[in-house]
Amino acid sequence: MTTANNTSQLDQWLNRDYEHGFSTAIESDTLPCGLNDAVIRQISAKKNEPDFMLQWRLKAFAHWQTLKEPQWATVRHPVIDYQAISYYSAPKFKEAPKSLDEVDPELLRTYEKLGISLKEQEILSGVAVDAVFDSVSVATTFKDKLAKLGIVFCSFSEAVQEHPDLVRQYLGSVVSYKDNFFASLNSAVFTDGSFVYIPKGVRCPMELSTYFRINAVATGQFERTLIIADEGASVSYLEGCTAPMRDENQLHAAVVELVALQDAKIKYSTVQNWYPGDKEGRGGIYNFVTKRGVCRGARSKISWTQVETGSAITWKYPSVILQGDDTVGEFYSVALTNHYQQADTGTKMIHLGKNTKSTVISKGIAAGHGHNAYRGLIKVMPRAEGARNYTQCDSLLLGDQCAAHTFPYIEARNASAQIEHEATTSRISDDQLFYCQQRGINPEDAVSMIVNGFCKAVFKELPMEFAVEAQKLLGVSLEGCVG
Amino acid sequence: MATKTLTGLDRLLNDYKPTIYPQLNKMQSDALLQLKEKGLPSLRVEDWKYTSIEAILNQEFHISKKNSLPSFSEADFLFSHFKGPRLVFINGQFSPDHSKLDSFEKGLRFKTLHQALEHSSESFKKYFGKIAKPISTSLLPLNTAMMQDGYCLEVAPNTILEQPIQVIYIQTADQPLALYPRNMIILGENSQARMIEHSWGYENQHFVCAVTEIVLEAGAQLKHYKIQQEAKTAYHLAGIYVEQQGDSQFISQAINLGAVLSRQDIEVDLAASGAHCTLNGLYVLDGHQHHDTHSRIDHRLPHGTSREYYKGILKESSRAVFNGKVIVHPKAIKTDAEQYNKNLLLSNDAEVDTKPQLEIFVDDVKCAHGATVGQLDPEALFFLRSRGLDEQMAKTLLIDGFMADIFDAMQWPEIEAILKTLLVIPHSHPGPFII
Repeated sequence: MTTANNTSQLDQWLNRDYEHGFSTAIESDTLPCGLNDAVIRQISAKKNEPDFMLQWRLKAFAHWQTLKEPQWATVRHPVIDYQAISYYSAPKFKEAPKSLDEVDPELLRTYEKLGISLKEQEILSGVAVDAVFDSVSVATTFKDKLAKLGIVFCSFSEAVQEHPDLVRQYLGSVVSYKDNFFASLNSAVFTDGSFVYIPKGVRCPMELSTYFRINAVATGQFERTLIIADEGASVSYLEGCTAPMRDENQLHAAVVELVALQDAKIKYSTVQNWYPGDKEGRGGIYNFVTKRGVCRGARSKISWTQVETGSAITWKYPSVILQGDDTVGEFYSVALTNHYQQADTGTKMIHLGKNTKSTVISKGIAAGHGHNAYRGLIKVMPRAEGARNYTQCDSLLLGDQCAAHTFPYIEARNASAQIEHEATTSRISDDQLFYCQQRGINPEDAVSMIVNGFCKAVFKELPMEFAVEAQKLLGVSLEGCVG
Repeated sequence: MATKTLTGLDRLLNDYKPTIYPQLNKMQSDALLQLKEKGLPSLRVEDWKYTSIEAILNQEFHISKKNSLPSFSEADFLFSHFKGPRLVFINGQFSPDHSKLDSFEKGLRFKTLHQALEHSSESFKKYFGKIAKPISTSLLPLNTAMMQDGYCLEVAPNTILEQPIQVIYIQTADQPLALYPRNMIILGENSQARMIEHSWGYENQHFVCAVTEIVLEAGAQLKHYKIQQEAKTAYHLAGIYVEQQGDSQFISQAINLGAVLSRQDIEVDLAASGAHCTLNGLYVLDGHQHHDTHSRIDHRLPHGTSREYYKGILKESSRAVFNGKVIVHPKAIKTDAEQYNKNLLLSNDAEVDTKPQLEIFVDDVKCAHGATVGQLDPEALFFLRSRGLDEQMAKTLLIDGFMADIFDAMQWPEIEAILKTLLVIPHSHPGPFII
């Protein structure tokens, strides 16, 4: 097999169309474009929120107005007009659905096309799904089963109504409304999201999951997720994203907050496959996400796993603040950028407690004109005796127009800290391909093997349900290139 | 002179005098304009995130004037037994008395900066001021605006110099000086040279802001050794800017021991194919010393290779910053780049901020980087102590081992021996380091 041939096969998969590109015709209850105090009051009123929420939103908005959009990331995009976005869009129902049977069948078909039929999932897979369609949660399953254990798993708006004390205590305690430009914006206008509370000593018996969809034209989606694992609790949470094909750019600025108290464990996995834009880089989702967890109690653990294949722009740094002693933070990531996609992603590990440990494994794959950047911070504070970090960030380059960058910041202020950072950048070498072919493996399989091997360290961290989807996603991307 | 209303920059620029050399006119007015517009870098500038020059801005400096110079004996020079030419600058002024100018080999031409500006050679005209890029975030504009004397060395094509060239800077003044040496090195095609630069000074708060421009024409080779051993109250912020043409080789070894605040900017432009550069360095800090290494390597055309290896040892409340940038441009296929920074933290009050950075715009490359921060391995210490070594001895052995590969890479035993004495036995002036 010649290089020319390989290139054409590469091109084939690089040029594949977005598989999940379709949109659902559902009437939306949408606010007009624009953002001001009145809009925020309206959002809050529509959601029937208590006053503390409104005040918090207004404070966030006031702060946001003093901020400028950050320019430090290696992403390029036209200026976003925040006044041209509608900040609220809810699917309209004749009445609130009480069970899946009452859910708009059009909506259910959308999920089916994505291969996540709620019904099927409810019956067969045993996964509780809190499906978010645009901004309002439309169906929540398995609630009863979880309720028996005292687990709260509901939409954010429901949590505000039902558990205002928990929300008040933890909202903004990890990502404050002053945190950054996009987090402030989110705090002001977020419409819905998921809320999870695992009580003391409870191990959540199933994987919790949310599927996000962006549907209505020109609506930004501002999700807010808050997960609290009380002492000794453990939970695994899955987040998956697919979005229909759209021409104009859509903005998504989510915030995810995780709180792990003493001995608690939280595992947060993401597969993100939003519309990446077409081959010329038109359209696609702008994904500006703030994700952060805090290991507040001793011996707690937070683990982020992400597979990022979608979005025109991905800007996200899932982080862990290792506050308690003996806490553990992990970050496993595969980010694929193709065509004109840009990803600036990585993690922050802030070591505060004694004997805290963190592991960072990041795999970036850049193809076509894709730009892929790893940006990470490992910070060891003076009191973090015995802190330990291992970071590995590798990039694989496919095609001569793509770019891969690495910006690892390491700040060590404790002599007993042990920090290691390793990174490599390369393409699939002719030697590797030759070696495989020499042993009777055809080039397509060889490329597949090498790419899969490249990402293996991350995939093995995904829960079963997601590992399949992630491999499928990458497989789709590799099709044509690998037989 | 200075009043409270003057900013630090104004105070530094107070001593600015318009140049008498017409070819400097535009360069200096541009630099002044840049300084007025942007000012000097603050912590808000990404490349200065960890290094503050506030202390320099709050200080008042004098400009060196010609006056009687102290006398030195041969023994005061680190490399007194080396044959070959020696250039000595005392308080920024070239001192022919202390220099050894009789041992210039054929093909090597030396001028002070003033001489070179007065009677410029063709290659000086071609390269001077063009190698250091104005996009650089270093203190380059400050040096350009204020430049004093310096050296200009030209090696004729196809010349292979046997003996190393020594350049010694000594700061002896009893009042704090601001020094702006400006140097130029041009190696003609297929020439080869070795250089040692050593700067040191008496206890005082001098501020050295040096810029050296280096051009390696096709096939040229330069080994550049720099030992910074200023008094531990001084400020030393230097920039080295290199342009490498086809198949040339640049090897830099930077040893940083002195100054309370030091920064080394080194920017290498591999402007043609097949060029190679090696940047190695060692910084050993204690007290409240702060050292910052900022390197940038631009791979512009195919088949370039670069190797970067910096190591640091930090004691007491010292702080080290490392930032290595490797940029592989779209045409630079078959690039092979490696970059490592390893740090030994020996105190809880010490701090390391390191950022090895890769920016790659083409697929057919091999790049790797790594960074580590750690302390002496307790098991290795235990092993040595169980064999009867006392703790101090055991630590010294391990630290020696940590530094060994930097010295090995120098491939010059005489220099290695001298450096080792610097690190262990006090020299006649402040700056020695005892582990």
